[in-house]
Amino acid sequence: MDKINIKISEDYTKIPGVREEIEGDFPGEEFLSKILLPKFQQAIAEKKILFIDFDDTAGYPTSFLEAAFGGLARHYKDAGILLKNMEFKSEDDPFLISDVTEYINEANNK
Amino acid sequence: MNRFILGFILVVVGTAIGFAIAHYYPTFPFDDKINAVDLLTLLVTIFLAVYIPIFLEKQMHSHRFEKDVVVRKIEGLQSSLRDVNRTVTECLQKNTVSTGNSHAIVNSFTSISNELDTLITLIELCHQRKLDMDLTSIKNLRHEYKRTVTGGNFGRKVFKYTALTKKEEEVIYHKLDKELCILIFKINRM
Repeated sequence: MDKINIKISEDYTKIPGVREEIEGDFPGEEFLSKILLPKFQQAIAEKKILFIDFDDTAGYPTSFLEAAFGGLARHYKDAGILLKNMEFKSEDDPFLISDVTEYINEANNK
Repeated sequence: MNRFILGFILVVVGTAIGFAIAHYYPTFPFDDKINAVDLLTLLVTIFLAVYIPIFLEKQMHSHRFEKDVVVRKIEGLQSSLRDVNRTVTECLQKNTVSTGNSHAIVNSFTSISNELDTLITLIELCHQRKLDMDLTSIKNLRHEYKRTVTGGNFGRKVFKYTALTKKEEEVIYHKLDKELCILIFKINRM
C-alpha cells in the first residue's frame, strides 16, 4: 500500500511544544489542524497509509501527543480507523509508538 | 581442546610414574583386584575435581557477570527517574517550570524509554520470559509517570505543577522505584 509521509522534525518542528495554540509555540492542536488532519484525510481519500516519523526532534511531551493524536481520534470518534490507516516510526524513543497508540485508544473513553 | 590433551598427557605420565615406581622401587604392594566401591569413589572424585572448577564455576561466573550488568542498568534507570523527580520538586518549590526544565524533563523521558528498552532486551536474553509480568508493570508505570509529569498543560508559558500533581507524581515515582528494587532482588535470586 502506498504511503503519505509526515516527518515531524522536517514538516513541523524539531521542538514539539504544548497542547493548545494559545499556550505557546508548536502546539499539538496546531500540528493536528495544519498537518495531521489534512494528511490523514488525504490518506483516507487516496486509500493510502499515513506514515509518521517521530525521530530527530527534542522529544514529545504527553500534552503535545495527546492533543494531536488524541485530538484526531476524537475528530473521527473512532480509534480503529486511525490505527488501521497509520504507521509510525520512532527509533529515538522506543516507547513513543505505544504511548501514541494508547492516547489514540483512550481519546474517546474520557 | 588443549585442556583435554593436557589431561590425557597427565594421565599417561601418572600411569608411567606408577609403573616405574612399582618396577624400580617395589616398596608399595599393588593389589591385582579392584574394589568396585573404591573405583566408583575415585571416578566421582575425579568428576567433581574436573566439573566444579572447569564447568560449574565458569557458568556461575558468567551468570554473575550478566546479573551485574542488568543490575547496573536498573540502577541507571532509577537514577534517571530520580532526576525527573528532583526536577519536578524543584519546579514546585520555585512555583514555575522554565523552558530549560521542560526540555530537561522531556529529554529525561526519552532516556528513560531507551534505558528501559535496553533493560528489557537484556532481561529477555538472560532470563527469557520469567519476568514478563514485572516488566509489563514497569512499562505501564513509566507511561503513567510520563503522562502525569508531561501531561495536562505542560510546556505552557505559565505552567506550574500543583501540589496534587506533585503528590500523584511522588506516588507513581515511588511505585516505579519499588518495582525496580524488587526486580533487582528477583534477578539476584535467579
